[in-house]
Amino acid sequence: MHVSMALVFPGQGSQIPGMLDRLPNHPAVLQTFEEMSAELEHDVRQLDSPETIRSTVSAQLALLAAGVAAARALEDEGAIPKAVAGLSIGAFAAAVHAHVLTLADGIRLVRQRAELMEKHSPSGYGLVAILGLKEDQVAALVQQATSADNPAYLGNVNAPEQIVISGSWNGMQKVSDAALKAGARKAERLNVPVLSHSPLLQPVADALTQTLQSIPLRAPRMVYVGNVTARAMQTAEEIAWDLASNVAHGVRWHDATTVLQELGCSLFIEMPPGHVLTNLAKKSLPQIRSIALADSSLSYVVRQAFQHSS
Amino acid sequence: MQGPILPPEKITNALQLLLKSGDRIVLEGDNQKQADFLSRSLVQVDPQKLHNLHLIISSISRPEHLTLFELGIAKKVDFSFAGPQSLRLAQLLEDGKIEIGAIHTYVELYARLFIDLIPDVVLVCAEQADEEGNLYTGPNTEDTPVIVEAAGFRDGLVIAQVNEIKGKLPRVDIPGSWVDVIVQADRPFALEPLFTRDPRQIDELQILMGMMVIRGIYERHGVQSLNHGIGFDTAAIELLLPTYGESLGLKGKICKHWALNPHPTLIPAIESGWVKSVHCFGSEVGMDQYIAARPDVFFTGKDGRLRSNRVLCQLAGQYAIDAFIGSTLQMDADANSSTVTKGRLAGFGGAPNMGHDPHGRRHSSPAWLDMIASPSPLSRGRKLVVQIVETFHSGNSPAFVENLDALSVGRKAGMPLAPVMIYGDDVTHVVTEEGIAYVYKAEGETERRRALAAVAGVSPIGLKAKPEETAALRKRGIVAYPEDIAVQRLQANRSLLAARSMEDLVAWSGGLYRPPPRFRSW
Repeated sequence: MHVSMALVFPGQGSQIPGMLDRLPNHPAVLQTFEEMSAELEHDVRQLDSPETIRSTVSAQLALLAAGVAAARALEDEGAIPKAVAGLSIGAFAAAVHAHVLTLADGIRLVRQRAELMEKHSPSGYGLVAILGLKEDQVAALVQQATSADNPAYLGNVNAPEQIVISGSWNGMQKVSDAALKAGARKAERLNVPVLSHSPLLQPVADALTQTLQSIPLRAPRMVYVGNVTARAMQTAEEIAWDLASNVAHGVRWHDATTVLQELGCSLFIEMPPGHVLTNLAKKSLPQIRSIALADSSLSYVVRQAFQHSS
Repeated sequence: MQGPILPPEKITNALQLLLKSGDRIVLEGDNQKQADFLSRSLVQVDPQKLHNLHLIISSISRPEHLTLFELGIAKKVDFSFAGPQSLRLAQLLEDGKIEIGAIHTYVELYARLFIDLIPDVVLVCAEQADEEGNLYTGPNTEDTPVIVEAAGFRDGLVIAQVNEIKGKLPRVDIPGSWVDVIVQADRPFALEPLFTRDPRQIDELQILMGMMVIRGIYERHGVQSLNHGIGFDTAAIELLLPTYGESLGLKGKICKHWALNPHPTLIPAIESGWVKSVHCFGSEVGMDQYIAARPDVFFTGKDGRLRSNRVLCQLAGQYAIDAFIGSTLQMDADANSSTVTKGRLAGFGGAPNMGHDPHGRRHSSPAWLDMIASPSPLSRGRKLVVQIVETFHSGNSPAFVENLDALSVGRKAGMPLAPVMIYGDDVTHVVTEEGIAYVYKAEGETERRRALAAVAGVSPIGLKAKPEETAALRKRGIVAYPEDIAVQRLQANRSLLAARSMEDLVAWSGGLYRPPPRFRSW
């Protein structure tokens, strides 16, 4: 095990058409695809065509596929991380890689999560990203602006001054206006097909909790850092709760990556696709070496993993 | 066992047998060095057999320090600094998995080892041991002698990990009759370069403030002895002495004696003849050879290498220096300051000790006497306690606030005291990019607040400053803007630094300074 390496798995927003073809050409990737195709009862590669990937169900399943496949390829080459963490849907790939649940069960869970998220995404609601204010500043503004008819909630804390809020567009407009007055650099709507990380999705979390009760779970074989509380987790129960619940809570991503650093990880490898998490880490945790596999090569990343293990 | 020497593979078992549940354990988590073979072994004991240890540790740095609490091996902690583990510590506290006795400044924690935190077992690290158990702690002696003394003379157990076991030691730092168990570690003890700052990262604002400090404080009051709290602000001052300080003709008049870790950024000043002596809390990775070449400046043994001692150096920093200067993140209108961030518990380190005025001091020095602001015959001088603050951080958060975050952090964590780093009534000077507030000269609370507001820029506190009041304070010398002390803003650029890169520092040292890999870009 590489005592200084963590794998981080990206969330929704990172998916792009053709992302599965861009994964390393490695037996472990092909094997993972075969496994997933069998479970899905169709070729997993159908998930990321420009049309299909627009559906959150395909997007989330494709992200699961990419994350698990790439992590397995790394492991095949001898690079096993000390810890894993995934943003939102990424947490499921992280949990599968930590052997908490099987890939087949992961697929079941992710499909249910995505389908329910689609169902429970009311129109008139969405997400807004606020840049340039701290968490407690945004929390105070949310508190002031929210109402029963036009709720607003604190969502993901991706970086010390990159906060996402959820809620009704009207409620969030109030928060945005106040935020800009208070000195925020930007307050912009996120272009996402479904609502996420909002208390409005508690019914989804409840359904996932139910499903997880019938899934055989194991203690993680490496540390898993959770989304909701950013705790380092070593038991199946805690991780199951985190997987079920993250959809209804803001992801404390900045705290989670800080915990990875405090646990001794000095190298973060981001699984494909993209480099969203790498960019966040480069800015918020500059002492950490952060590499996006999508922008690199498997052999380079493996070499870095071995260099960092001393 | 062969004398005091324990085979390494038996260490976890030995710890399980020698320690008792509930014992008070000092684990050498010093600032720079960590007895990590012992801490990594301690996390492997069976929590059923060994649990609820009371850990006394100055610097919570290693991941396994807190894993001990996650596993229930340890329950309570008394410490000083937890910067590298500040989030996990806050989480454990929130989850009820750790009990904090108190947060201390370094020398305060060590003082209690002799009063009410007397340890049952101490786990320390050293470079080498001989077959009799004598220890060589070398440049990174740090806290070891004091920790060992606390256990060695109160029937406590002393267990030491060493890098190697040799026939003859270069010098004896700790006698074998104080030590019970020696074990050779699987790898050399962990050592972090905490006091290295890359000159490339020093910006013009810091250079401007550095010039103001040298001119408006060091020169004005004749500061001969001092400590610099670590940071880029103070690194800038160190690199401005051979250039800006020289242009003012100050060599030999200021900054001669230092209580300081071996900062690489002090090399140019040492090589230029500014520095008469430096006593160190610990060593610094890469500085070994340079230090050995300057026994006229550093404290070195007959073996030629540094001897550091944190407790003695902290004592020097308390009583024997004219001035402390450090940078802080947040300050209120009364100059109370703190570096806490919400959701994190980082503790204090040495700053509260250096950054206070010890009323027990009896000897005087020119700078100390210059702080007398009252005509009363019973007036005494003060230590200069200087705080450097940039008025805004990352564009949006003012450093000057109505209420320190420390208040809510302390409340949320259930602490008896808010974690204030330096109290306003100890502060004599506040330096911002706007100017210097000579708060020691202000008469009464209102005038102090006005002096601070005058240098607080466009923060909410700074905006309260009335122009007429500021003008009056400048006239009386209670506030100085750069032009008032003949500091040219335009002169504040990087070309004024004696060294502008790590390579420059290496060159100044004649190639003897060897920066650790992460600081090398060539």
